[in-house]
Amino acid sequence: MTVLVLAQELDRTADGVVEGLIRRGVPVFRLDTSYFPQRLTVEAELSGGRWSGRLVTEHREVDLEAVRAIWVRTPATFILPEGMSIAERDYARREGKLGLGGVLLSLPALWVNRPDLAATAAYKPLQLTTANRCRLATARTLISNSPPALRRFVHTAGTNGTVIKPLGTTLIYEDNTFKMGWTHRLAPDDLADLAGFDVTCHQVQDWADKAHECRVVVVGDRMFAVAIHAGSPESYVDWRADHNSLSYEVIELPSQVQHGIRAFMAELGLIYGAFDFVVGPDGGFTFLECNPGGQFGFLEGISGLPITETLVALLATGGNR
Amino acid sequence: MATLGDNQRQHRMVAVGGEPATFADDPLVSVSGQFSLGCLDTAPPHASEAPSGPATRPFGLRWVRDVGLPTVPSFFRYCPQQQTAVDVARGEPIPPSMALEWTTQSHLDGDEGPSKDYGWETVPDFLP
Repeated sequence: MTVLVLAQELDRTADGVVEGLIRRGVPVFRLDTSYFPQRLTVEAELSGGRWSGRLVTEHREVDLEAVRAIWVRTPATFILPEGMSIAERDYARREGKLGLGGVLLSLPALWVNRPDLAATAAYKPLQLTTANRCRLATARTLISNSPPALRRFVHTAGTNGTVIKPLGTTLIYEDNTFKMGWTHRLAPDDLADLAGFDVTCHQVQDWADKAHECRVVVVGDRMFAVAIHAGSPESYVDWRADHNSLSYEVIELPSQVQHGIRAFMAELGLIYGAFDFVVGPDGGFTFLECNPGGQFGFLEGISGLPITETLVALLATGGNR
Repeated sequence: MATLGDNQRQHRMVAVGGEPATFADDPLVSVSGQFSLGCLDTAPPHASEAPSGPATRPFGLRWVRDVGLPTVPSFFRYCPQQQTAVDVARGEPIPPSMALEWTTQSHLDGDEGPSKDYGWETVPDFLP
């Protein structure tokens, strides 16, 4: 059996998984999809109801039928030959995606995670309703591009007020630099001018009373929970805004939260997920989001939790999806 | 000597810049369009624009902060034989890192300034 690791080259969290698999004697084929088509050849033939053939790079190749597990870390988009027209590139990118992606998706392998399921799970509105069905508490939420709807929502909020947070990532590139945004507590002054609220969807939620936050990394049947304590005003609103002020504590999750997380994972078909919760002064957990591709390296480095080893063990066992 | 990572990064800048992502832009298909392919190494796109203006700039972007440009690591490179990072000078494997190590440099006002370290979480968890 071979484990296919779909990751970019300079990814040292992925290095840990690759090395763990090699230590176990499990064959690994690490691949960045950006290799296709210039540095990766795919040969796939349908026979007897399944695809056979191989993936070939300059340095190694893998038999498609030997692939038993696929870890989707962060593969990058195809790098097409220069000189193609925009129309040609669009066509080539689409055909490559449907061809290479389709062959890989058809393999009877354990996916961590299956990309289509991870992509669907990335929708926050879907996450929130799924969390509710799984008995995980959520904050009252508005998604809108209507300024009057925002004003109504804010005016009916409790004394804790509201926050605005992106539905995806806020990483943008402008002014020749990368910019990023985190959760922001809306102040009355913010509502004086709502220009730009109407140009796209915005997610606004009631502020969940917070003692600290908690990240839960789920790998198969295992859960790793770490309380994240803020040490600055910025990290109290969103811990990602000020890493240097944080302190961490490995915790046990309440059984109800564990059950909710397992149900959430099952409903969305996820094998791996990184959950974020607010933990209130009363110990209650409020679900914020689940990131199907969330980072875990920093958490392992800080806490010593054996997340990599757990992932390695899961991939090494393979299995049918 | 350029590493494979460097070459890849240079190619990607060409590949990403200015091209319409029509397939992934389908507004109702799940974000990946079946098979997620991102550009997570945060290589700068080909071109940069300034913010458009108050009427058209999304409200949610009012609170973004400059996080600088990621620097290419100088002491390790990817080794396609070992499939992990190796020391640039000796070619020997280096231990995997679980630390916060995405280093960026602020370049506002042309000031190279001191390096700033940003954690893994500043790298987007999941890009369409």
